[in-house]
Amino acid sequence: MRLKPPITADQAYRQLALNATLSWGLADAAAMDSLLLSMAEAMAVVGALDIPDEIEPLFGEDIGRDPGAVA
Amino acid sequence: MTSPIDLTATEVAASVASAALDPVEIVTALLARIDAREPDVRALAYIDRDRALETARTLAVEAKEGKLRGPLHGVPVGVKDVFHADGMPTLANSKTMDGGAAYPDSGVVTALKRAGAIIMGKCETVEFAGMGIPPETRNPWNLGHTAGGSSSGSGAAVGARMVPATIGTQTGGSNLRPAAYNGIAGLKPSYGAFSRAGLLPVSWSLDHPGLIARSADDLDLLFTALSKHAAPPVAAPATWRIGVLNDFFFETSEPETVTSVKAAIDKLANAGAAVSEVKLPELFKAQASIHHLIMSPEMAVYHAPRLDRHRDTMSERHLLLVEAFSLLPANYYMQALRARRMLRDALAALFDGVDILAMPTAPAPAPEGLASTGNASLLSRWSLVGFPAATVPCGLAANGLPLALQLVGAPGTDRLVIKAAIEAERVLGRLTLPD
Repeated sequence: MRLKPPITADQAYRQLALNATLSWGLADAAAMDSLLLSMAEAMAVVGALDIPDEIEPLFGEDIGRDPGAVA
Repeated sequence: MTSPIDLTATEVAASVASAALDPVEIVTALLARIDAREPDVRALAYIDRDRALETARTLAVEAKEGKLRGPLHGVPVGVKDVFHADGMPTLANSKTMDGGAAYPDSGVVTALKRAGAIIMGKCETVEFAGMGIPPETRNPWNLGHTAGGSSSGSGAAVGARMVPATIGTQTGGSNLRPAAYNGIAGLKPSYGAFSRAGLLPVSWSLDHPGLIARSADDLDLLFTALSKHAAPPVAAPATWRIGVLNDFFFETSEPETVTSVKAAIDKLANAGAAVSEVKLPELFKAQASIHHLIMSPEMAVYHAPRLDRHRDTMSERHLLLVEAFSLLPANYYMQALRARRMLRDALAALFDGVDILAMPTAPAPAPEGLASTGNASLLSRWSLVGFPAATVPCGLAANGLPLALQLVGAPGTDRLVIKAAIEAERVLGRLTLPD
């Protein structure tokens, strides 16, 4: 699913719902509808963030370290 | 003479070290308390009665000979039923787990035993410490209310004085919330401070083993025993500089919580602390979404094989969570990880002028019923960025249930956060469950 340009929560939801049906079948897809909605909303929020190119993710114990201690 | 069930972990350790109390006497008293309260509270998934007594006898002999294994010599501790412990089942409140399977001690249990602790048993948990089925654990302050979760049993067992300290976990708000709801102290240390080996994960990059105990002093004792890294004692500042986060944390809390926590901060100010308001960065508004997009796929990946093998015995709730969370595209997970780093750096800057941040631990006291384990929104923020956070009780709501103050420190300042919790407890006093 595309990250940029940002998608709306509705666009994310429709793609997730389609994927849910293909992956898990109609009954489970319907049962997880509220979970897909909340995930779609979170995707829209995170997709809209402007994150500078130089920002790398943190892994392992670097997550809990002082920012000054992580290059 | 104080009953052993009324002692803090620190007092138990001191009593054993000075030969004022025998570990067997302590374990016997706690087992009697468990027999009396467990049928109502249902905090424990497994009670290791015989081995607890056997270990206590061994530790008693060693104590008499002046041989103390470590800072927890003779201190009974419970562990959340997502940590493996030799000779005990790990069920994680899920029918998919094999109750007959044997596991070696988890890193946390190894550290506890090395420090001289007596493992009393396993504490109840929400299914896989996630968002699945809650246990039947009840709040000892009012059995009609939740004890919180997902470390439900860890909170209730200490609150009900069945054991002076327990180990929980926190991925969102699962360790400090049960501590707050049960009127006791808790610590979620910096990410990576304690071993996660032998812990059933919810989300590898968000899971924090945490502490729940009768007093803030206990947090210091347990932190010393469990910290993977050298964390030398720190001196308390001559004047505590406390930053208050009115944005979000107070705005989203119930009026009686706001009143109680503000009154607690006023008491700290009257005791000499310098209090100022701190403003949150704009990016904070995306916090819940960032947390969601990191936790969900990590949980789905871990449980994918279980979904395949144990579909018939997995609860429907957990099954749907795993299925739904498996659908998140990888680029959104990676973007959320990058956003977490940006948020962490922005939040770390809040400590430029303060030692500690203060806010409510939970927006309201423990909700009624067992269907929900309460609101994690004031806690998951700090789980996401891995900052150390502690909770201490600060009063009672109108319905008689505990309210709590949360204290958060900069990354890696666990000892300072514990010092702040000790200071807050000194000023605010402790709560004791009335018999």
